Amino acid sequence: MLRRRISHSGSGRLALTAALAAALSGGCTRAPPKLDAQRARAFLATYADIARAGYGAALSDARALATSVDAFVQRPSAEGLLRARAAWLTARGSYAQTEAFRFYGGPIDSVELLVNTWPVDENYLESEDGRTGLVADEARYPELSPRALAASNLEQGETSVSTGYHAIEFLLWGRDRNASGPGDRSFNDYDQAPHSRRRGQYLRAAAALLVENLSTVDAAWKGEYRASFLARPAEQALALAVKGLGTLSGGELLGERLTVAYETRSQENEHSCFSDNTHEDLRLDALGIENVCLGRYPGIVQGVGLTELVRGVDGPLAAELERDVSAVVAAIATIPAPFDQAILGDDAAPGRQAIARAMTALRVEAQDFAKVASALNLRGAPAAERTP
Amino acid sequence: MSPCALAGLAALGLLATGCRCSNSSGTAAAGTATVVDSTRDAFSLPAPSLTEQHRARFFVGNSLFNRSWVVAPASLESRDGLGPLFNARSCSGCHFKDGRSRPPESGQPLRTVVLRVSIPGRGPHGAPLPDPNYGDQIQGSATAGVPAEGDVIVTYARVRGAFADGQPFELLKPEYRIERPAYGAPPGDLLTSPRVAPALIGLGLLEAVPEGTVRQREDPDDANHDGISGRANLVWDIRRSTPSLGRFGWKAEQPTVEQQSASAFLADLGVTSALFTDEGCTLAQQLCKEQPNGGSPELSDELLRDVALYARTLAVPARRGGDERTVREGEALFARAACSECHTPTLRTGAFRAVPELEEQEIHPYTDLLLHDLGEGLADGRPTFGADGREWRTAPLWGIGLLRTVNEHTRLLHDGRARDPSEAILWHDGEARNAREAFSRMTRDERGALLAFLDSL
Repeated sequence: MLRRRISHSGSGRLALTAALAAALSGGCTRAPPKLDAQRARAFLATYADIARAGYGAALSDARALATSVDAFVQRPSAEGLLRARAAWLTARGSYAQTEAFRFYGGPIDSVELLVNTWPVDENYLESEDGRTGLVADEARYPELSPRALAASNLEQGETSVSTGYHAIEFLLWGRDRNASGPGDRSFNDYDQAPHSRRRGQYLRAAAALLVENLSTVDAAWKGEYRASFLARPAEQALALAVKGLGTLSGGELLGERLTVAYETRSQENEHSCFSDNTHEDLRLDALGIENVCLGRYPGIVQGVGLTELVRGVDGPLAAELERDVSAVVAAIATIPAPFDQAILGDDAAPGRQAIARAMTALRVEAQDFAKVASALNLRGAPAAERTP
Repeated sequence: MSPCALAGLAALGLLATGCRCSNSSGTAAAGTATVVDSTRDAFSLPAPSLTEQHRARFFVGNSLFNRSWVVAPASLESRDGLGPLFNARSCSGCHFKDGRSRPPESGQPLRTVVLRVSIPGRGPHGAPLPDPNYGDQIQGSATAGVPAEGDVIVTYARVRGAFADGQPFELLKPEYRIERPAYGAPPGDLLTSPRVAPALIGLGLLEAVPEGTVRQREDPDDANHDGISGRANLVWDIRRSTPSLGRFGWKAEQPTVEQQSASAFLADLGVTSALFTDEGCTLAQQLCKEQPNGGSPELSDELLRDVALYARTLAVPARRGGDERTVREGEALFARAACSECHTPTLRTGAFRAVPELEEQEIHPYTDLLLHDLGEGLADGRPTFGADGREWRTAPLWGIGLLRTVNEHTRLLHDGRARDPSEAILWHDGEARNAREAFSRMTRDERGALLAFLDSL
């Protein structure tokens, strides 16, 4: 059965054949490889430290964003809008580095849909003619509080996004109809333009909700969740960590963020499409993966990385992993901005070639995580973790 | 390393789990199309066995599935063409997280559940005969300038009963009325059939089960006298212009995932495709006819292919806790009560040219894909091709235990009236009467075990 699958799986999967063959020849009874329990514990503690540092930074940057948003809405000005945008870009950077902690039912996963859902159907917030959408439709959405925004989020499907970074991004930049730069919403949208008061209420409420949601994640990794995560059997906690990394790499970044945009050449499939910050989102996501693999959070944490843990079991694989995660960061850094222009043209266009190289690098990285799961004998996700 | 370690790779969405060590029935619900994931994303992952090329198309299909469609004409040409009449703006509006929709509270209008309608008689090939004014579905939304057809309001009556051991229960029996019908009073003999949007996992695998395998299980005259007489629904395959085995939809009215998807694009979103080229405005709906469209068809063949590929290749999550004693007891009770006569635990896929990665897999969908009379309580009285008004296709049960996680509800059956699996069982009648009575006669512990088994799927 497995052999057959490999025959369908194309050359990209051949690298896995060896791991599979080893797995299959082992049968059900062979003892797992030796995993240094102490080193595993040290890695998991480092992992939790990186999460704490990452969410701590994301929260404090989100608070700074909320503060500059409040100041801007109270006294709308061109400078105030620029300051709010700068705060958003900073906040995005620290959040992107935490995405390595998604995809296994951890603290972020219970609020992620309110925090970082994309793509945003901007018509759900404001139609092109400005007459419908949450901002204008006072009859249907009388209140624009954090609670009300949370209730309307994803109400009509997975792109009817009313909360989180990308909704705020739309409120700060507006539609991007500009080939060479981002959207250029005027501060007047918060001053004299129709619905300016409600738009301001919306922006403040969305920023406040973001802070509120990140606070719960930050608190979880400082306290209760950190403790329960570290109290799990090491193998289980490792399985979660590796699953998160592999899903971000092979599913989210390679699949949803690069493949779809590359295949469709459509700006509507661009991650941060209003601010033209997609290249930075990608780079910092990749850096977040590298952080966990190298056991560091720049300037705050220096501990045992995943590569060091793997080294004790499979030296060559550890070297491969270390090389490949850095290669992803490097490959993504060569994607020219703005991303919505880089996806255009024929496949020989420099932008598309850079994206294709990044996709190849991510494919290799995702395969590494599969090999790591196999080398560490991880049994996949443990029993169901229910959302409350 | 044991093959169970492969589950770790499956968890990454890169490889399927081949784990067969821990218990007899195994955790691999769908062969190499199984994923180990019990998070909110459990229904949203690609089959790990996909080729790189199919994986790329999967993600493109996924983005299309999630996207909101807009009114034509618009700058976003690839997804304009919403309506004029529609129920939802995106596939994900009802199949949220690729999962199942739920009905509203009593007295509220349907939003993510649709009401199919028709008048007595048969259309071409045995399809239901559309109502001359409302067509074959009530669409509660419309683009600017076009009257929406009306709101379908559901109300529930409470039905009380008791298990054999005296434990009481209460069921909800729905009734529907169309409020503010915009195109005249519906006829008194209007036939209606409410439908929730089901979860999309494993659809390609069900399409890949050989027709012979399905038909071999038919027993239309109940020749073996077990009270169960499964029948195949023969429906019209538009692409092939021939009658074909119905596999999808609550009455097995669609032969392929592609046709099911295209029909949902038209009926639910108002988006035309190569398979359904007409917007479906009725003679009474002149304003509907006059609206600009988003191209002919609005959904290109390429995008239809991507979305069908996507729907065909959503992986099935692995079972959880299949080793536990209670679950194993429940599994035995499920078989002893003959639930498994129709909710067939194991099938095998055959050749499948659309997605060769899904070929030759042992799968555990808990369906026979056949029609069964489930009695008067569940009947919609609306014949559809070969399915009569009391017949429904056996619903697959895989993934049922993750519904709470993915969609935050446990509403079951075609109209979502059952609030949990126990209520769903209690609604079974007709061919399933013996099974339901067996459930009623079980002790509390036995019922708990049976439900624990369902929860592990």
